[in-house]
Amino acid sequence: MTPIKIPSIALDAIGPEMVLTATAMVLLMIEVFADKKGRDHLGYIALGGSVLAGALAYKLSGVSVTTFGGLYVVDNFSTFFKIIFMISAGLTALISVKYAQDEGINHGEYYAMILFATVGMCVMASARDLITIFMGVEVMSIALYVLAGMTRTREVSNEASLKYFILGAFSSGFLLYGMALVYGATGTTQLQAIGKAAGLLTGNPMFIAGAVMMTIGFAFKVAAVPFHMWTPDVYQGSPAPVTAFMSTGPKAAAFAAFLRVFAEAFPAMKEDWWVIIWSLAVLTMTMGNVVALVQNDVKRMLAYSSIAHAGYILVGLAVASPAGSSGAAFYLLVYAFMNIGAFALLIVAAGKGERTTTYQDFSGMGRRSPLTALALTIMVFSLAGIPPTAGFAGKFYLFMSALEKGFVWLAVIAVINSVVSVFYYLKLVVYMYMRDEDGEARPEISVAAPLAVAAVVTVCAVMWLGVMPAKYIDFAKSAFLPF
Amino acid sequence: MILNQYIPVILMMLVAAGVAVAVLGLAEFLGPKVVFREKMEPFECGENPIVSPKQRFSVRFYLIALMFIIFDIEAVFLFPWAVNFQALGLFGFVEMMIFVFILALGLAYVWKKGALEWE
Repeated sequence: MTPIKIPSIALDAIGPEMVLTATAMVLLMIEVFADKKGRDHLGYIALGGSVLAGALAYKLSGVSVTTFGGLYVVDNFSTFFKIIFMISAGLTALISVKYAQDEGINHGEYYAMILFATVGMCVMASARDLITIFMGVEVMSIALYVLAGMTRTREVSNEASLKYFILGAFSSGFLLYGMALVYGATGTTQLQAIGKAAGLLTGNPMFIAGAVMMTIGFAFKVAAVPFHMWTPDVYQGSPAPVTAFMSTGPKAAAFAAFLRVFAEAFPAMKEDWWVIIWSLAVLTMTMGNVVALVQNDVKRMLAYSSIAHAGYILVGLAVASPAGSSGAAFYLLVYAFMNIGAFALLIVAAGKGERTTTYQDFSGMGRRSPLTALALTIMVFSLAGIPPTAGFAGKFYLFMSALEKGFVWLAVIAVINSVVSVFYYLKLVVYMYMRDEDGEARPEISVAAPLAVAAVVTVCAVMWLGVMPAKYIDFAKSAFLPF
Repeated sequence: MILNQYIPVILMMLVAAGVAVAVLGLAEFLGPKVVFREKMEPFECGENPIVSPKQRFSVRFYLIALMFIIFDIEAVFLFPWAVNFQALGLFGFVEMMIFVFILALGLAYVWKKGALEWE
């Protein structure tokens, strides 16, 4: 019998993924075998798993390996994104501890799903093959559908889960059909081989249709206008920590796969597809910001703001340069910190059952709980992009990459949009500091220890990345993709 | 264009559809029709329906079906592995044991959750 040739497998390169999977399985076993008291530690175990996986990912920085027969690549780009995912997963676990106990969803499955989704995200960032990308997308998405409906007794949560599932499955269909057409046109699923074949295929209708459908599939996943319709309802209906997670980690993963596919498989179409991405970026940020202006509910406002931020990040894709891709990566890192921080403070303010999340509910917060109000102010300043916060550094670097490549109008529109966004972000600050309480009974604000830790960590990170961004921008610069 | 190669397939599909429609149409036009009450009732394995078919299925059926699929897939992977066991060597053995172990954890999970209990 002839021995079967097994492709070289670098197990050390997938350390983060293995740690996450093992932690998730341990969580499931704790759920079924431990007593009720053992469940108190679930969140911290998930946090530990994410931190360990993040450390392993950080150790891989500078490493560049292609393994599993060319299906999987570990380079600085994937490592940078994996660190974002671990930050997102770890902080989500941290802000979930109190929330999960309050809402009765403190189960091993909850944290295990977060970690499984993170594994899927890592696969998306590292995949160098269409099939592997699709597998990562599904591993991530299926876990997220479950997470969105985790608070089973709340109707909006069920609605969010179902809506996300149906539209997510639909967008996966687009993505897969696009991949099938690209495979049909090029005869390969390997990204770089597609890139080589694509040079000879300019104008081939099957190839163009495939590329366009894959763009639609990714645009769904990153919630770009006009493929954003699911976002507000899903983000509002899902449990707040899950929304914080969905709007940071999975969004970053979708951008990672988006960037890698376009940089490695479709570079030949650069001249054509920047128009598409340009329009998507302008539509997304404008629509997200304008609709966020008229929202009355802070959670829904953050959902629309997340659409707007996807628009800013699309600027980095439209530019299609190394600076653009690393600018997008750095912005996603910043966004992970500031958005999860904002949601942590929203959880504090909303109280049990997420009943009080309108702007009115934040009135007088500056007096009722000065530290919470201060932290939330820093977060919204960062989201608005006001120096010296990280949001400013991220936007500056991202828009600079557009100017360098001569996308002046795109940069102008992006800056105008940032100005518009200041209105609805600062509205929150106005309510917190300049409106008196309206006399309605609101739950006492008490900050549980894990939430306080998460708030302190995110505030420090946002200030640190804002004041001393150079080192991290250099790291992001080393994580560029060759366009 | 390369689509030319598919013309026989399209013809085959058209012929197949044509035959199906023709046979059903002929039966409709030529066949004798005897209509009586029992014949017009909804068909349920030859039995008179005793309950409305619009009832809910227990969610357990879905659980069982899901678990069946998972272990079916496991078998799908196990067979080629077993056939090539010697060619794959120790590496293949360890990999497969990890795979089976992960599935066994899943089984332990559903078992302990009570998904296998019918009552």
